[in-house]
Amino acid sequence: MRVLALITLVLLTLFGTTLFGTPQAKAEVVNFYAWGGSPQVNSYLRWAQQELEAEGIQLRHNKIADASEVVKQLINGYSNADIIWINGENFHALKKANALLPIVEDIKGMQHINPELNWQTDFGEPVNGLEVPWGVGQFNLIARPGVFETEAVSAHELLRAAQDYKGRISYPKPPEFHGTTFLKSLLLSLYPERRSVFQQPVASVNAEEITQPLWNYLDKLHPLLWQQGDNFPSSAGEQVSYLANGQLVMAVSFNPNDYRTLVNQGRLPAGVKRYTLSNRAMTNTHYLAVPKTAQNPKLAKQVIEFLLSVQAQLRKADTNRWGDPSVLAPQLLQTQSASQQTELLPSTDDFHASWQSYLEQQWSERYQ
Amino acid sequence: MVRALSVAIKFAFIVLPVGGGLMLLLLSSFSAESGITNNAVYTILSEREALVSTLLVAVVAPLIACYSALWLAPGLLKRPKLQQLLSPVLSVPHVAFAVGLMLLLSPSGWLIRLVESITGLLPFPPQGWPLPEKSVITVMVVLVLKELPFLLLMIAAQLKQVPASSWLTQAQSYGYSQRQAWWRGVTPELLKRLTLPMAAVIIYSLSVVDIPLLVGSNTEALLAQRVYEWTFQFSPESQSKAVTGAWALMVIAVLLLFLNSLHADLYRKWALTKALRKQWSNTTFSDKAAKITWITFGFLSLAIIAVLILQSVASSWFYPTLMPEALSLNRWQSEWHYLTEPSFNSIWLALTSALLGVIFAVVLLQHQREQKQKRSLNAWVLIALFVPQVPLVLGWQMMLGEHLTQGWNVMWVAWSHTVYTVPYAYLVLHGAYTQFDEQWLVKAQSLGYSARQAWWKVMLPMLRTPLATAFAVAFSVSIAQYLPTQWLGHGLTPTLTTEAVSVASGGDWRIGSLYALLQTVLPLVVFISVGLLSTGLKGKKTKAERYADYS
Repeated sequence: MRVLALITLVLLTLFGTTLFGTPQAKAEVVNFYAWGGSPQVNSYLRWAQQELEAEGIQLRHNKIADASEVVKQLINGYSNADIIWINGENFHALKKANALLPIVEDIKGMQHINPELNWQTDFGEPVNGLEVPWGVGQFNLIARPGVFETEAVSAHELLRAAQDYKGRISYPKPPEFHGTTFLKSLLLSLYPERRSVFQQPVASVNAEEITQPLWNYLDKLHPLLWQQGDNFPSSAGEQVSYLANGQLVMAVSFNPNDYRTLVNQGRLPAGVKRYTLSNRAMTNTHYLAVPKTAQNPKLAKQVIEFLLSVQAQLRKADTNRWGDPSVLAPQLLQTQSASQQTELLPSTDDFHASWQSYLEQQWSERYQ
Repeated sequence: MVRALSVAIKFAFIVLPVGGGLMLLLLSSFSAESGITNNAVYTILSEREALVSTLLVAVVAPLIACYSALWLAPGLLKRPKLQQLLSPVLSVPHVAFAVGLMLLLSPSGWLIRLVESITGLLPFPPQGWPLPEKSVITVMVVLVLKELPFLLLMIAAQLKQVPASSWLTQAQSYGYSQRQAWWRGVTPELLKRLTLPMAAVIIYSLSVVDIPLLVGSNTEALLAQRVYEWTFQFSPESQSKAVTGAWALMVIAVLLLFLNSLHADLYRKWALTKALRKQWSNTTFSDKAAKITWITFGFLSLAIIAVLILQSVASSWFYPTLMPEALSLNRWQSEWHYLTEPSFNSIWLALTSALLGVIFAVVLLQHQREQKQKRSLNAWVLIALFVPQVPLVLGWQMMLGEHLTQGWNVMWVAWSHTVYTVPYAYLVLHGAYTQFDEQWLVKAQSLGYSARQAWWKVMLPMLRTPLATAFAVAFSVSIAQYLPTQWLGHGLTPTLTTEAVSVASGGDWRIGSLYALLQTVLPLVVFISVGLLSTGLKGKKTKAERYADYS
């Protein structure tokens, strides 16, 4: 019984502190829902938190395992998110549900965005001012030295490597977006001369005929893959771990600096090299958006403006830190430090949005 | 009063949460856009391989765990301190356990590295190793190893109530071997008392999502895993598949629970009808094997914790090195400043909900005793465990609506944890409480105690061990909650688990291990204290126990 009394006492103290103790400083809270799976991103946001405190804003990074968790909540109408970090399918779902605030026109500093950046479409879907670009993603392969012979890896070269490294190559399972992008890059490599076809809606072209070579190719490739193509890594992060522990000789990434940052952080062994699948890197943007249900959209926009500032973008691009390329015009980013220089890969635009679900569906009918 | 309390608890922690969740599920089942469609039913029924693996995992893994536990349990009778060995495995969260196991035994794990460093034959991790990174077998191995200690703990609690030792002595005096007596005499009684814990284990194996997401096949995914994935894909077809799949899971759950309720009787029939052989030829072998298994198990659980610790201080660690390239405390130091809030939330949520869970379970059971429904199973107390969590928690959000935005989140998070601690506390206590020998109370009252005094001064102290065990299990259940904490808490109650789950999604197991260890520490402290309470304090007996010894 003494134990019971002790527990009760502890609980009362704890309750006391939760209910009456905490809110003394009345900084205004902005709830930022962002994926929490990367220690680098997390410490970047911790820095942003400290900087914003000076502006009287308490930025809360509500870490989630997958952005779709907060999307699900927003669609059902029960979320306290003020800012969310999204792109691709999650953006489509929120746009369709009419859950986002048009913010682009209110954000100061939009004129500084790199004009060469094609951020007006998100995985082929028009942005319509509903989200603000935050960083650039470029699809690339990271491999142990000697796996690939050319810097631009063609579908043919990938097949050759898969024969040489039997069971050591794989890609994330679609509909994971790295996996779907892998398929798109292969299509581009198999169809170098017909790039424009993929900018059209899938229903307006003969998709079955166009994609047939891809399925024929995968039928040949899969038996050579890790676990004979019976299983695939579930995410790009998981595949990086498989590359680190020698299971695989190749990983995929949307961050063109990952081949350096991941080595700096001891996540990958030194000496790994970066390649593009097909001769250009599929390029897209990841965004910040403010839901219609946000408690304090004005402060949310203030936070976004800070995250778009030169100072914040330079720090984000630092390969000793996160290493995510800046979205600002290059002339604004004059810097001495080598680790903050962003060099982008030769890029190619993403497919029309309708290809996304078509490819995913076809893939899972065949290989799942 | 007990009756009124019991009704109130049933309403607030069973009817309300499950009703709220099911209401949403029902509503979405008949919605025009994303309701149940023939197409969705057809898709689910046509995925035969997925259904077979789902059943395999939900039936075979619990059975293997159950009979292995029964096989190992005589050790507990001889050396009650063995129970302490279970604490680490019980405290490690499922996902962390899976990660630790893979770090040790996967094709690139420590065991293979050891072979490589001795023989130099495996410059690359081998392919075709029986425990691959992703497979149904891997899921089953993780589940069996994680459920085994839980069932052993349940058996240990029951062994305090069943006069197993005297039965064994008696049987041996008739010339049966000890093993024979165990399987024929003690096991039928234990199995009967294990019906509820087994129900929980079966439901868990059927509905678990995080383990198959980590180590399960992703092309032939289990049903619960598919339902989870569909829920977060936003096309109407996926949504309708998710709803249909949720119902399919519940139908399978009811079916398996029914089969589970027959388990003990079937075993008894089998055990009694089989011709009795006086001596099992392999008795000695079996005992030795059980001993070795105990030792291996102890080693394994320590090794898992050790490898998680090593990972958390590794600056980098690649195949095939046996030790990290360099050790550093940087990761711990940089996270340290940010741990106060999540640790604090984890502790108070777990303490509150475990305490409430145990008290409520006692009320429910006391009511049941007074109603003389001792034997009845009351599977409905467990009902919250077999509704998939995503629609359940979404239903709560719908039901609570405005209440969540007015700063009451914190209370509702504690409430949602209690919804899960009550059934676990109930099932841990059920056997011991309902089968408590009425004689003690009668004797106490004949000595002049009132009924209430007898309950407080005799019954509760005598049930100290099962009560403490129930608290520990409920505590670890609360610690592990992710979705209710995240969604009802609106990010205001980050716990070690919400941090751990989101950090783990990036696949960097160095920081993942750090959070997994932190998640382990709190339940470990509780389990070890409980273990000491029930095995270590031989000298300090309560008044009631002294009385029991001499009467």
